[in-house]
Order: sequence, then structure tokens, then C-alpha cells
Amino acid sequence: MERFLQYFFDGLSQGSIYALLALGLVIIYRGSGYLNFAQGEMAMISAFMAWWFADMGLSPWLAVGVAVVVAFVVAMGVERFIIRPIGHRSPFAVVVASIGLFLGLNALAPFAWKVTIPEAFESLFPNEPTDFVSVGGAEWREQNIGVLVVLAVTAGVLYLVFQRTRFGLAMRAVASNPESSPLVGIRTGQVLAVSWGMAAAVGALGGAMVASLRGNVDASMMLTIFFAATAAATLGGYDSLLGAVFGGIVLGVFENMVAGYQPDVVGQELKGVVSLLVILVVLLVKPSGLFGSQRVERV
Amino acid sequence: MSELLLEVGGLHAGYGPVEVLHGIDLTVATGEVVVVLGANGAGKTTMMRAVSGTIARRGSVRLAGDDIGRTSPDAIVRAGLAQVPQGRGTFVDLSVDDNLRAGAYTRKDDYVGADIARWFEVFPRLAQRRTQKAGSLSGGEQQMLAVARALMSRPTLLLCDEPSLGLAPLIVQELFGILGRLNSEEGLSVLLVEQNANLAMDIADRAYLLETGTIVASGDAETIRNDDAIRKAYLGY
Repeated sequence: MERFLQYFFDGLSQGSIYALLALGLVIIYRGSGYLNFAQGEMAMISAFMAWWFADMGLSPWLAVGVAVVVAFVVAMGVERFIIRPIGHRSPFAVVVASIGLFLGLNALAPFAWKVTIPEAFESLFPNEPTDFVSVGGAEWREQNIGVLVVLAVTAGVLYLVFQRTRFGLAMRAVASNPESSPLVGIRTGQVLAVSWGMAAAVGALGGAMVASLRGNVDASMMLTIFFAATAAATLGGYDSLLGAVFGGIVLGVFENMVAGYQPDVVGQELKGVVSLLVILVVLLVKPSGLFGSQRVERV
Repeated sequence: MSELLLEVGGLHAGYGPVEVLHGIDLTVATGEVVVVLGANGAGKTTMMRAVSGTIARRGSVRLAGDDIGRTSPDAIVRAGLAQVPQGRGTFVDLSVDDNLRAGAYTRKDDYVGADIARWFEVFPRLAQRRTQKAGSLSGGEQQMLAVARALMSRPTLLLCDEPSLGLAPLIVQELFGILGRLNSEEGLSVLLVEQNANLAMDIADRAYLLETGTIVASGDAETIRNDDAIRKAYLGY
């Protein structure tokens, strides 16, 4: 039981990170139908920015806040000046462009900050060896609880924005029928730009959480996490925010359980393969994911 | 004749290299119902899209005197023109309520809720389904929703693109009855495109006949009805 709880708690925080990244993927996918391959690297750059701001003397949380805002603004520009013009020509070109962005950002980080080894990142949560809550003999570290809380707050804010605000209604309208949206006066371009901004902001939070858990920033920090996040979004359904959260948490816990209970067969090295299997199984059994909408439409 | 609400002059439009409209002139006066008749492929939908700005166009389009020939479709909605697109175009994943709220996206006043209640009175079947997703409604209900959604922006001019398409005759009758009442009781101006023209002609003040992208006849509804050739070809009796 103790062992089970331990894997469960560790899985929860890992899953929260997958969920944050998956939320970003879903926000962009809902708006434009694109899978943003650069989501993970955008988060990595944001984590670097947070580290950089903190290094300049900002308090850790303030540094993360500034990085989130910068990510929001820059991603809006990326949508407006790179993605949208390319998308007018060919949707497939956008996929290629986002892969290009992925590679470019990955190379940019060590270049821009002149770092070749991981730089230390101060934990955002209490992280002394004694900072844990004991539950059934397992240690639920406060750092892990903190990441879960960040996910819960983010998901709650997103829910309110989407369901309770006028702009959220516009975002849902564009997701449902982009052709009809201008006919009610919605500026679809504005909605898409803000979608990218929101996705990048949520991703930046995810990147900061990863840096906080690892204790450092590194150009390769988001690689496996990004693929796990795509698996989480596939599992939850690519157009469902709830699905992204659920998919991320389930995948994180599942992965940790498998790796924990089968250390010889799977272990830490093969943990990432679990997400690949999840993608395959979901696509074979239920392509729309657990919460994704299978369009029901009477004519 | 009262003042002109919509003035279209020399309107050209098409898709890519294919030109569909070859210079159309058309007007709608305030308080009028104008019907554009035409066969399949005559360019009726293209004309509606060109007026509402959803496709590229050339020529002049004026709404209440203001040039909207280069205005983006969302700004045209704010200027007071709402379009019910062909095939309804509802937000199928959103509830009926949210569809109507989206229709009021351009408004910032406090009467959105009151307007929703009002259109639920006019379209009682929507009221029963207010929390259902639009995609689960029948075709007729979706058409009602599309009309109500357009009216939520409080337009001065309503464009309806073949609202009768695929609907049972009784529902078509109900819909045209409602449009006629809105026009006579509240002075809503309507530009209506129809292939099934009999019912449309009942509420029309004037009509145009569109053939392969050109207006070939126009006049008040009575005259058009009494033209033998048009009657046989478009009104079917």
C-alpha cells in the first residue's frame, strides 16, 4: 500500500506536467486544427526565461510570472506572423513550420544563453528533505503537491474563461464552426492569436514546473514530456480540455506504476514507451479519445 | 420610396479564377423584403457571400450609405447586417443558448438575456431545447436557430440564404410566416434568396431574377408573379 501510494503521488505530479502541456496542445488544436509540435520547446524556452529572470534577481515566482506573460505575447506574434500566413497557403505546411520551430527553439536555448550544461533552477515549492506530508506511510512531497495545485488552478481558470466569458464563447464558437464565426461578428484571427498565447502561457507554467522538479533547466528537458503530452491529449481527446487533464494524470500515474512495479522490464529507461503504446491503443480502439467529441449532427 | 438600406452596384465575385457574378446591381429599401430568384448555380449564394464579405468581391456595396465593399465580415455584422448562411451554419457543439449568445457577440448592452427570451417566444421549439447541443436539433430547428442567432445581433438588414432548403413544407411556411411578421410588425428589412419561391413571393415587396451571374429581370412582386415566363420557370404553375 505504501509503495502503491508512493508511485501514485509521484505519478500525480508527473501527470500534472503532462496535463499542462496537453492543455496547450488542446487549446491550439481546438482553435485551428493544428498539432503544435513546438509546444514542448516553447515551454522549454519559457523555463529558460524564468531561470534567466530569476538569475537577474527576480523572486522565483515573479520570474515565472514574467516568463508566462512573455510567452503569451510572443506566441500571439508567432501565430499572427508565421502560422497564419503559412496556413493560408497549406495546412500541411503549418505542421512542417511547427516542426521547424521545434528544432529551431531547441537549438536556440543553448545558443541564446550560452549554456552547455544544465543550469540550476531554484525550486518553486518547499523542497527540503523534510518537506513532505506523510500519507499511509508514503511521502507526498510538498513540491509534488504544489505542481498538482498549479494544474488544478490553471484548469479551473481555463474552465471559467471558456465557459463564463464572452471571449471564451468566441473561442468555443471558432472551435465548433470557424466559417460561421465571422457571421456573428467574431474576429477569428484575434481568437486564434489569443489561443496560441494561452497555450504558450499554460505551457510556460508547465515548463517552470518541470524545471522546479528537476532543479535545473536544460534544452532537452521537454523532449520526452512533449511526447507524453501528445499521448495524454490523444487519450483524453484532442478537442477536450477535461480530457487533457484526465489523460495527463492517468498517463503519469500509469507510467509510474508500470515503471515502479516492473523495474526490470520497464524501469525508468522504457517509461517513455508507455506513452507510445497509449497512443497506438487509443487510435486503434477509440480514435476520438475518452472525452473527445464524436460529432453528432442531424441534417 | 423610403431610403435605400442596401445598394449593390457592379458587384463581381467568384472563387479563385472562376467568376460567378458578372456585375450585379441590386437595392433593398428600409422595411422591404426583397427576394432573389434563381436556379441552382445561378450565383445566389455567391451573391449573399459577396454582400456579407465572406468571399472576395469587386464593386460597390453600401449599407445605409456607408461603403462596406472592403469591410471584413465581422465588421459588417457590427455595421448591422446579419446573414443566415446556406446550410444553417450553427455552432453544432454549442448549446442552443450559447448559439444565441454567440449571435449577440457584437453587442455590449444588458438586454441579451431579454432578447433570448423573446426569440424563445417566437421559436418555442428552441426554448424546449435550450440546453441541448445545436447539432442534435432537427434541420428545421437548426434553421430556426440560425435565424434567431442572426437576429440576436439586432440587425437592420437580414440576409437569408435558402432558408427552406431541406425543410418540410409546413416548417417552411412557419418560417416565412415569422419572417413576414417581423417585417410587417417591426420593419425588419430582409434580403432573401430562394429556389422554392412561392412562399417567399408571398412576403416579398420586390424581386430580382438571377441567371448565370447576371440580373435578368426585376420589379415589384406582383409584376414578377404575373410574368408568364418567370412564373412557369420559377414558380411552377
